[in-house]
Amino acid sequence: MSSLQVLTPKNNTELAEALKQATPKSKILGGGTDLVILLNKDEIEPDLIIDMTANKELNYIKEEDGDIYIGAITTITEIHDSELINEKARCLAKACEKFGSTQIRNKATIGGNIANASPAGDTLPALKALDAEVSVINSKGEARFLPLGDVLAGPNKNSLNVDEAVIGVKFSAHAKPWISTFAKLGTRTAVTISRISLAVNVVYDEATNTINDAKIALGAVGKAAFRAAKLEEELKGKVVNKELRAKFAEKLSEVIQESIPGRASLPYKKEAIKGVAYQAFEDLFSM
Amino acid sequence: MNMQIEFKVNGKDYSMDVDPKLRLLDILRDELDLTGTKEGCGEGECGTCTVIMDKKAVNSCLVLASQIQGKEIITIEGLEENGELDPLQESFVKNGAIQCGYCTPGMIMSAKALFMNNPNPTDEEIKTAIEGNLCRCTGYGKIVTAIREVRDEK
Repeated sequence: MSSLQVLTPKNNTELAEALKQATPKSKILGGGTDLVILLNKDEIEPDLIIDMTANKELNYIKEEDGDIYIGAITTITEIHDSELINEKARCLAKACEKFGSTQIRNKATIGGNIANASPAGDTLPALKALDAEVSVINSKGEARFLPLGDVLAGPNKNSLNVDEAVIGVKFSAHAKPWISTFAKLGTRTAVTISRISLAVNVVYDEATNTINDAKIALGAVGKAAFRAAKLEEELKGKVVNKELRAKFAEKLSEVIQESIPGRASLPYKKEAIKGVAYQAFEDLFSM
Repeated sequence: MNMQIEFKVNGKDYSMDVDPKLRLLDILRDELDLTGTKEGCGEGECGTCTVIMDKKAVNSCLVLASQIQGKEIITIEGLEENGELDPLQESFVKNGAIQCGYCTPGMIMSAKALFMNNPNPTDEEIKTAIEGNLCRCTGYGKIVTAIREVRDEK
C-alpha cells in the first residue's frame, strides 16, 4: 500500500483547505491523461494528490459581459461541443477537435492542459491567440487572474506556487468580424502529438477582403506557446490573396527560425510550417 | 492511505476500500475479476482498456481510483443480456472484425459509447470514435464494416 493521500474537494472552499496541505511533492490532478501515466510508472511519488474533478463548481462554459469563462475541469469534448466556443472562440474549438483521441478528449481538462504546460499542448496556442487569462486560487481561497504567458514557465513547468491551483480561464468573446482557426502537424494524421501548431485569429472585413487585426500564436516550436507579434502587425490592413498567403507562410518560417535556432528539428519545421500556414488560410478564407 | 469509494459497474453497486494509486483498469481486472478489459500500452495510446464511464468512452488506464467515485461504468462484460450478445458483438463475429482479439473489447466499447450518444453516426463519426483504438491485425476495414452494419440495422 502506498503512503499517497488523495483529496477530492467538492467546492472551492474545500479546495482551498486541501491546498493548505500541499508540499513541493504534491500534485494537482485534472483529467489524469498525463499524471496517471507518470504515477503508474513510479516516475513521480507524490505525498498528496488533489483531485480537481470532484469539484463541480469548476465545470462550466459561460459568457458574461463580453467575456467567456471556462472552468478548469471542463473537458476537451465539452469545449469542442460548445456552441458558444464554436461561435466566439473557434480556434479553441478547432484545437479541441484535433486533441488526442475520443477517449483522451472525454477525460482531459482545460485546466490540466494549461497547468501541465506542455510545449505541444494543443489548447495553448489557441488560448494565446485569444489573449486568455488564467484564474488561480490559493490556500487562503483568494483568486487572481494571470496572463497565460505568465503561467507557462517552461516545458512542462508552470509558475504557480505550491499552494495554488488553476480554477479556470477567461478571454474576450471573439464574435464576427473576428474569425479564427487552428491547424497542426504531427507525425501522423489522427491522434498525434503536435510538432507544430498554429492558431490564427483575425478581424476580417468581407466587403473589402481585408484583415484589420490579427493575433497569431504558435505551439511546439519553443519552450511554450507564443505570439508572433511582428507578423501580426504586418498582416493589418492587408488584402487577402495568394501573395499574402505566401508571405504569411514565409514570415512564419522566419519566426520559427528565430525561435528554435540550432535545434535538430529546425530544417524540417521551417519548411513544414508553410503547409500548416496554407491549411489555416484555406480554412479561414477558402483559398 | 486507503480511500473509500462507491461506484457502479455493469449495473451492480460497489463500495470498496482501495489503494488510491490504483487505476480503474486495476480495480476492474484485479479487484473485480473483470478481465475482459485489457491493458495494452498503459499510456492512453492504444485503447484496449476502453470502458464507458457516465456514457463516455475513457481509457481505464488513465482513470485514478478517486475519479470513479459515484460513477457508472460499463465494461465489455456488461454488454450481453440474458445470454444474448450485444448486436455489436454479433456483428464483429459475423464480419470477421476480430483476429487476435486483443483490441476487440476496447473497440466495441468505443463503438457502444458512440451509439449511446449518437444513434445514427456518419462513417466519418464512426472512424473518429475508434481513432483511439489500435488494431494491428485487421487493418480496420472489417471493424468499420461491423459497426456500420449495426447502425444500418437499427
